[in-house]
Formats: sequence, structure tokens, C-alpha cells
Amino acid sequence: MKSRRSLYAALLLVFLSVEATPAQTLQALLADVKAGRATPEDKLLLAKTYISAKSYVQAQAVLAALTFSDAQHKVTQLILQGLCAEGLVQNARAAALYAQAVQVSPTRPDAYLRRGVLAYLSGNTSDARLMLQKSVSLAPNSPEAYYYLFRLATTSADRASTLNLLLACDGPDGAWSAKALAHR
Amino acid sequence: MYNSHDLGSFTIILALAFHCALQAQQPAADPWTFTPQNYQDLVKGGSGFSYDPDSDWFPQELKDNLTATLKHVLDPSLKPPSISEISVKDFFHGHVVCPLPCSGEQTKALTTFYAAERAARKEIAGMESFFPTQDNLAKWKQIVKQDEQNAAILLKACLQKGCGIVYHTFEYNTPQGMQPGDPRRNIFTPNGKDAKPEHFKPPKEDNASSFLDKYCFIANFGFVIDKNGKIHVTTGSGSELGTVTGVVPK
Repeated sequence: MKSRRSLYAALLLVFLSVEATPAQTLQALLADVKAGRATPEDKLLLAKTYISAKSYVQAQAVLAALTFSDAQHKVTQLILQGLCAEGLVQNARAAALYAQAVQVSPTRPDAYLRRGVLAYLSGNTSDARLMLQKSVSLAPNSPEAYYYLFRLATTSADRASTLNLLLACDGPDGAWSAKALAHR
Repeated sequence: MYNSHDLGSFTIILALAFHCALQAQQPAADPWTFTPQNYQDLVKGGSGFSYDPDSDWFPQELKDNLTATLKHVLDPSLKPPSISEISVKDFFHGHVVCPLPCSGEQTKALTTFYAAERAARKEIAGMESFFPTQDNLAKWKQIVKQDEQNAAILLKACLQKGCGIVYHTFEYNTPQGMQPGDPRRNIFTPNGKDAKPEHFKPPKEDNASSFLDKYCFIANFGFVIDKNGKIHVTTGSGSELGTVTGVVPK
């Protein structure tokens, strides 16, 4: 059990970079929840797993039942709730949740990243750039942030320098690099 | 115990207290929220939109474009409506664009603008990357004023035949289920005297910024309108409006 908890903790640390969680993980988490063994961290991971599977309503239900007093878990909860809202095409709600995440912890790069990506998708390119730049100032190795900054770059010089930063942190074979290279 | 005079006074005091409590509960009207009703009142009063002197940096050609677009979205006959209000929650920004490909002159002007933008931040705030908050609003105001001067130079160099403005509405109050690329919230208004705003679908339904693939991007701008119908324009597309309203959007 202890080793499995450690595994969950490690997975949680990289929760936004995990592209797909195996079905076995979901089953194991659900079994823990059913048996009353799941910790709040397990439930955050369960919500993330649901989001990966685009099961946003189930993820929302898990997240709504959680209460955290510490800022870090609270911000993670708000970000996951924001992702659910985006998945359900409730973008105004998502924007409010990400803004709340920034208020709770102004030093969490992923909160600015999510705000920046949502602003980009909504067409607010100026605020998107501000948020993404803030995110990379806090976490300079975020391929996702550099990818969106690359998409926002409007001169060839800016595109080239942003692509170089992306390639440096994601590698030429990385998923975000590949997406950017497809748009070059 | 009490006579009718006492009861009358008590009733008046109770009514006054109730009235005050109700007043306290009602949020004060936001001076920077301009509603379709405000526009109707403005028109009924015999006046229309005008531009505050703080927008002098914004070229007349683009002012005409913005005014035409505002009248379009505030037209009560537009069904379904494209906005609920002009405010920092809903309709407050546009993107100046020109036909592809960007000309050499436009690229040169953009490169110069970005270098000047970075230099302004370095000079005023001591860093090239500046993130505005309520605490550093004074410096942000200085930066935005400098950006406006640089943007005026950029726009003078870049505006040519075929340019126009892409607008987005329902920014932070997007109705549930409305995709970013919904034509209700994506509007293109070409420059020119008789140009009419057109609703369009960007290349990707889930990405309103995919308009960038269709145009040569020149500049962003933001705007708010006060209750007298005066339009205030800044550079950028959101946070810069804090320099007008006094509140940096959170």
C-alpha cells in the first residue's frame, strides 16, 4: 500500500504532463474509494484520471466533495475543476476558477499556464501572452507554455527564438515540439 | 403601553432601516459597464459616442471601425445578441489585422515595436517581462502610455488597403456551451467608410485565436466606455484597461 501511495504521489506531481493514465490505475483508485481507503490526494488523482478520459461530470463530482485547507492542494483542485469546466464548454466558469487559483497561490506556474491557454483559445491574445510569460518566469521548462507562446509569436524572429526555447526543454521529439514544428 | 404616535414613528424608522439595508445590498453600478440600455439612453438624449483624449494615439480609421462595430453589437435588432454589455468581462478588445502575407515594411515595423515594448519595460520597471497587478499599477500606467506611443508609430507604418479588425465578445461571461469559435462572438470589420461588421467562423471552432492563421497580425487594443458614451482605448487586450478603470483585472 505504501509503495502504491508513493506511486500516486509521484503521478500527482506530474499530473498535467501525464497524457493518459492506464485503466488499471482508475480501477485501483475506484477500489480504494469504495473501500474507504482513498486519501484526498488519491481522489485528486482519480479526478485527473477522469479528466484524461474526458469524463468531466464524474471528475467534477469527485472534486466537489473535497476540501483542502492548504494552498497547494486547493490550487490543484481549482485547476482540475477549471479543466472540467473547459471540457464541459463552461469557459466563463473555467476562467473564474483559474483566476481563483492565482489568487490562492500567486506563485503556481500551472495556474498562470491554464489562464494563458484559456485566454489564447478565447482569442484574448494579449492577456494570453502576459499569463504565459508569467508562467515561464516561474517555471522556465514548460513545453506547453512555450508552445502557446510560439503560436502567439507574430514575427519570424520571435517564432524562431520561442521555438528554440521549446526545443531546449521538450527536445526535438517531444509532443509539444512536434505540434509546433507542424505549424512552422 | 405605546400610543399611536410612537407606533407611527417606529414604523417610519423601520421602513428607513429596511430601505438602507436594501441599498447596502445592491452593488454600486460599475462606471465602466456600458449596457445596450445605456446606448439607447444616449441615443434618445441626442448624443452618440465620442473618444476621450486618452485615445488620441488610436488612428481615426480604426476609431471609425470600432464605432461602427459598437453600433452593430448594440443594435437591439441584432438577434441573437452578440454581447450582454461593453465591459472588461464581455466586449473589450480587438485585433488589428491585414491581409497575408505580411509585407517587409509591416514585419520591420512589428520587430521595431516589440523591441521598443521590451525597452519600455526595462526602462520603467527594470525588467523586460512585466506582470501587472494592483500594487504596480503606477508603473503599468507608464508602460502602457509608452506602448501607445509605439503602437501609433506601428499602425501608421502598417495600415494599408484591406486591413481591418477582428473582435471577440463574451470573453469572461461566455454563455455555457458557446464554443470560442462561435460566429456570435467572432466579428471582422474591414476598414473603410461603408464597411460593415461581419460575423465569421475562425478556422478552428475550439480556438478563437486561429484567426491568426488567416491574417497578418498587427496589434491588439482594448476599450471601455463611460456612462457619457466616451470611449477610452488602450493597447493590449485586457489588463491594459486597468490603467483606465484603476482596477487591474484579476
